[in-house]
Amino acid sequence: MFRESLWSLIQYLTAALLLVVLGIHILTHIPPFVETYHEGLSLESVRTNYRELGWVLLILLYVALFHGLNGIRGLAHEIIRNTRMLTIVNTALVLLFIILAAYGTYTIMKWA
Amino acid sequence: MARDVVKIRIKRYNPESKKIWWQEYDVPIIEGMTVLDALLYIKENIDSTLAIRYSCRMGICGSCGMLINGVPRLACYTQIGMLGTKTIVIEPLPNFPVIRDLATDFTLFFEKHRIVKPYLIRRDKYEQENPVREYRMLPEELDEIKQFVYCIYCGLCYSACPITGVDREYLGPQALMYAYRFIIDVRDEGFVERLNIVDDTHGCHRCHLALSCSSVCPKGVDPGYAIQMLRKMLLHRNLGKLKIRTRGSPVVEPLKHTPKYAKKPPQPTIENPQWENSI
Repeated sequence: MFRESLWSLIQYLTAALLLVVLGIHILTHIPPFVETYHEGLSLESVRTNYRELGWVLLILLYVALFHGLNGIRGLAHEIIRNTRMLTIVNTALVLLFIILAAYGTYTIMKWA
Repeated sequence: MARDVVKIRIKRYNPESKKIWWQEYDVPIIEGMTVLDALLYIKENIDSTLAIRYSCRMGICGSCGMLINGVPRLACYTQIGMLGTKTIVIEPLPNFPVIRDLATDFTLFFEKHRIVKPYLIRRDKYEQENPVREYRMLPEELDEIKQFVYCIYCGLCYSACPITGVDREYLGPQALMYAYRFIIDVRDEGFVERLNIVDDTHGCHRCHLALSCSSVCPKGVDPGYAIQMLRKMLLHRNLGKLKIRTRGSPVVEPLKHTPKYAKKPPQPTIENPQWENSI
């Protein structure tokens, strides 16, 4: 599909984007943005985040999923020699991305 | 007077019986003796069935690569005194199929070398097939490729690479380094072809930057650097920033600063009408 260098470029870009959105995500769970660490993990605080920063969490969901699964794809290319098995693994990773992204999106939208 | 003796422990393999075993030999050593000297001593005086590959005995041909005390080295380049152990463990090079004892099969290694087109490519195919003059190159441009030209195809980098160990289709440090060597060669015009070759699933992006290839090279070549530069070039190509210097045409007249006492360069043996128009 893509050339390997393009996969790598996307991997670099998603890593950079992860630093930003993951940073925001962590900040929303620690003082002074919440009163205590415990409060940051409460259902109400999480729902507030879904409501107010839903777009950040959606980006985090898609970018983290892509970055992680693309990393697994790279490892699969190194250790799996059977072309058919490789196709199966790649297809499974794409399906996994779709299912987890859909489930995550549904959760954020439902609780927002 | 008793001479110092070193124990040589060799991993042996017999392809007929498919048997693998370890065998030990006591070899009397003299100052400056190399591992290859010790192996030849064994072959001549103790066990003539031992299979080894060697040729020049002076680190030029790259034939006698083997795993010596766990590190890929050239047997002719490694002095016994330098190792500092009373027992020397010798095995065939990892990542290569073993033919017999310490002799390994380089077929796949050279196939991968051929994949990257290790020769000058010119856009003008007529000129490529019928060269008549040398291509001009500045000394500083030569310096850029010089370290890579020193490669002797010994396969030590290939055997040290952890990725080659798990991914058989990975081009390997030697082939990738050679691709880079020709891409940055100003006389070459085949960089697009080569970049496409190394931009494969099993190309330069599989490198994990272990750099064991660079650390074992007996000639000081740095394949790890070359691979990272390939990745940088591909990144720049994706961002539309790739710049490659090439020379448009071969030398058409003697260099300006050719000393008067120098002989005249040979005249073209084949005329190409395309060049006449381009001059």
